[in-house]
Amino acid sequence: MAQRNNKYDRQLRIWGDHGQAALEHASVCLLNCGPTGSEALKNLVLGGIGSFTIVDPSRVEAADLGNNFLVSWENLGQSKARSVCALLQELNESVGAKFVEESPEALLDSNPSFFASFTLVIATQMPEKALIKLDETCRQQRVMLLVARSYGLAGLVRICIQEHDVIESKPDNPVDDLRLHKPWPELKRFVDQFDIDAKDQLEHQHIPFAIILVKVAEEWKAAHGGRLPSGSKERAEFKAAVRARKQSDDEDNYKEALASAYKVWAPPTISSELHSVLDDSAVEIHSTSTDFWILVAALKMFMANDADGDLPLDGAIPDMHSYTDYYIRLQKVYQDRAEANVSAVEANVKSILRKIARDSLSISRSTIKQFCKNARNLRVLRYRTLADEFSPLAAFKIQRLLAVEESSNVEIYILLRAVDQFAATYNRYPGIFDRELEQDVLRLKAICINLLNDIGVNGASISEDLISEFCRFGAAEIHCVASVIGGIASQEAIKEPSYTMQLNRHHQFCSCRCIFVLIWQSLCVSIFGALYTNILFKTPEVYAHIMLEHSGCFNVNLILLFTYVLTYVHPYTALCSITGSYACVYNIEVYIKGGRDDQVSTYHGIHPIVNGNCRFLQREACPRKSCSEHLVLRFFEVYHPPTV
Amino acid sequence: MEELQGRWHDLDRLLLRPGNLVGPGFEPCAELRDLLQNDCKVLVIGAGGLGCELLKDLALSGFGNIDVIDMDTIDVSNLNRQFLFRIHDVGKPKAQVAADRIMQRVKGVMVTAHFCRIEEKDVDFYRQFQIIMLGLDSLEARSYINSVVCSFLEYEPDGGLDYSTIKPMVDGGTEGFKGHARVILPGVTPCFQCTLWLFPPQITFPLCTLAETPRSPAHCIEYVHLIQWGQDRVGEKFDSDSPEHMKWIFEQAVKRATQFCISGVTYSLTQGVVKNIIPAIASTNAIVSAVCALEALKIATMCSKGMDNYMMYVGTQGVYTHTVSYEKDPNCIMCSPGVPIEVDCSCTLQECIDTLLNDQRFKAKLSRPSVSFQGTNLYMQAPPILEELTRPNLRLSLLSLMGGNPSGGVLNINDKKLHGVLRVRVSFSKEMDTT
Repeated sequence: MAQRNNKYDRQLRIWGDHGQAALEHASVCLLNCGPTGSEALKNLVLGGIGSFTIVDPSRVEAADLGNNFLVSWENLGQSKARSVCALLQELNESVGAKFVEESPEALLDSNPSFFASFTLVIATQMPEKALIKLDETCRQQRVMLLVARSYGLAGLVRICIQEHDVIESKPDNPVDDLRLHKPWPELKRFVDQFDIDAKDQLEHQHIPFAIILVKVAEEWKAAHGGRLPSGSKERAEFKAAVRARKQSDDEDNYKEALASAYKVWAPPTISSELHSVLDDSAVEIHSTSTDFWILVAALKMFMANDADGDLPLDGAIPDMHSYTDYYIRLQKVYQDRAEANVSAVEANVKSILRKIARDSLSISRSTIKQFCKNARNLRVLRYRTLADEFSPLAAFKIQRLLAVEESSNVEIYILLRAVDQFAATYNRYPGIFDRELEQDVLRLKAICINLLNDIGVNGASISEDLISEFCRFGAAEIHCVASVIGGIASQEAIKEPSYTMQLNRHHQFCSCRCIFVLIWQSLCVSIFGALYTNILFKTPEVYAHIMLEHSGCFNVNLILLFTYVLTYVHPYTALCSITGSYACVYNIEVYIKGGRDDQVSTYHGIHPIVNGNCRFLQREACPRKSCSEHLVLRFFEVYHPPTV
Repeated sequence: MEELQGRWHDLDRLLLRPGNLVGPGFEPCAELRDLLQNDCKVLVIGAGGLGCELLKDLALSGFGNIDVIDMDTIDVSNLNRQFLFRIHDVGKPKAQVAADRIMQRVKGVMVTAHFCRIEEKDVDFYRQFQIIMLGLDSLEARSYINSVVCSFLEYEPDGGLDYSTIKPMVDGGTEGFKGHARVILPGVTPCFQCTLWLFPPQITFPLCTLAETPRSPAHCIEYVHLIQWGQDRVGEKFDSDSPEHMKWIFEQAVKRATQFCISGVTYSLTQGVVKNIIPAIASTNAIVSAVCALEALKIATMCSKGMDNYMMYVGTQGVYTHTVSYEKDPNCIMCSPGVPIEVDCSCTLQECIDTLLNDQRFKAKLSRPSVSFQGTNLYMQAPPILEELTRPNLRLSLLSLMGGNPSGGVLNINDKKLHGVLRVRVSFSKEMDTT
């Protein structure tokens, strides 16, 4: 056990013992063990999955020794599945290793129930037709399917699963839920014990900022008919009221209070994602409802009946400049409130369980507690079937993608499908033979045009350069590309480690929702995941709304999203780019014009901010007037993290 | 060794066929494989999570001549991602074990291991490689390599870069589900020094909080680590690899936490805080390393257009990447043609040296600078004979020493504190001193 903990120490720090336990229960089936599949499995074996089974009928050939690390020269001519299996086993003896020398397609035809015993199936390098059937089979058997494909310098990963419920989404920048704007009675009583005008200087500078802000906010409300400050003038007045209580300029608790003052008038809101979970039809509980939806129903009852629309308090408070004793007591007030909220939700869970004649103790308090703690970030992801994706139903989305997409990602998506159709027609991939290379370019082009017509996309075309490039690839599986695609597939797999038949455990991370495609050419690598699909199909108005809901939290994705829209959705503003990285933008707030803050000044593009760690460069002004309606933004009130 | 027919079948698609989306000057031919196999020497710095992956990726991209340098030995906690190591390798040098495993699996590749600190190798060691791959976890190590590589740069007197002196670097980094890959062509794309602000500030706690008002388990641990150790175990050097030392810190931190009614001190947290452990998983390392190795392949062969110049990968919520074309700092003290300084035209060489020593930008980088101009030594601190010979120049006017050109020029500064040369672009203040 001690050795296990040491071995997995660096990942236990991310997903904890319960995440590791889920991983150790996972059994993974890999279809085809070329470099893409072998690399995906390698990462999972290192992490300590329970067991794996490789399905591959082929023998180790010379080309495998040039692109797959999990075969060796001694295995030349032998079963590839056996070789990969043996070399993977060397990496981690505690993982169960099996292989089947059979073609995945044949197995799918002859014995579809084969897949039912796995937690997860990873299908690599498989053609469209077989994948549609596999998706159907896996959905019926409630097994998650991951599709991974490397093709020359391009690739694709796709998740197929009916529903993915996320409890521990582990946001990069968790929001402080302090309820400074409406303290509950116990918090009020606690705050009342403090005199923020204490004469004792040491005392004065060791009162936690939350207490200062609750006090000043209560005084403000008393003087303003119960209202909180609204509008820039009042907010400035509120800050001045805080400042007025300072006794000297170097009081750290007052610096923190001023930096956090906005939390009084901009408490965290309920995101549109959470709203959609709460309003999901699955929240109508019946005898076959899963634990997750019972918990959501109980949460909804809590919010409506016990909490005036608020979420359960998570009980966490940030560090604050304070005496130890004050801080610990304040922390206790928050924790007690969180526990009381958990109890209220627990009572709802029990009553729901009784109503559907289930054991009222079948969902443990620790599960409920975990759920309440993460309630703000619940997510439900549902994935379209491959059959739907390949049907004309999805055509309008592809059409829109082709219309707005500046980079060539959608074209690559089309091409990845076109090469499969090529193979179905000619019984080989394009560009396999040097002598037919030129001819294949024309053939592939014709297939692309047909494909676009078939799915009802009119007037779009695929770049000739890209078509040639795909023929140049000649279905090559380049090791580095396979390693990226396999790496992403294994990372997605880890986000779903506990998907089991009982459905009583839930997942830790948000997965990517849909397809992403990548290529290494021109100037960038682009991978599009959840954000891509979330945003691209929404109009800028909807988009601005999403942004608005997030304002007030320090969300890195927000910045990424913004870069994204500026660069892709509104090509005219493509000149604006954020020179910052995830490492340094966490302390920026984003507000949209017309949002809660009515004093937003108008900047076209991005306002330059230079402070310690962040630097934004202003580029060209936006030439298109109309975009100011939705996309005008500003970065303001740069939050300075407490310094030493 | 005779090559197995068809082994590089997949890679050859990229190397032997022309394309429209390739890098500048790409010429498809079989010699490209020879170039990778024999002529292009690559150095991998670090044989950890990224290093293991990089070695594998490079070997399977056709690179036949790889060196790897790492000062560490293998620890059990490496095994969840550093796939070249086995449990029975614990305690052995990473570089050697990694090199052996790669050569054992991928025939025909020569991997040379260096079990030492990067500072132990001289500048000429680094000069022999065509590409340098960085799989490091610290800013300090990156800065060191950066200064070495930037010192290779040579500029023409007119400020034009001598392209043959560029030593490309490809850098990767990961933390949990996030990572980055970047291509640094010193003098062309920003170097580490140009974009220092990219690195997150280190979290440290004020000493008075640790000593007087601890509020979190980490505060208690850091108190014992930074303050109590020195008081209770006088004269003993704390070693974070010693289990006894770590256990002591943990036990004392628990005591302190109990005393302040703080809960949550665990052994794992103690290790994490004291050793500043960054969480790491196999998949992120694999993704980032493969992106880096592919860039190396593109730099060496031009078989596809290169990344410009920084890609971030965020796998925490969905999968997201973004590639940014960062701009270099035109006045960078490492990679620019010269850091601008302005002096009065009456300024002597000595005054100029004093100006440099007092300049904030060079603080802690200069102690006893030697100065040369266009290959001529103006002042040398050593050896004594040269010092004596050049000493009279100190009193002479810098303007005249620099050929009397009022628009100034670039001085090369050497100092034992510098890893390479510092280029300073001198301009003279407008008012001419007529006396």
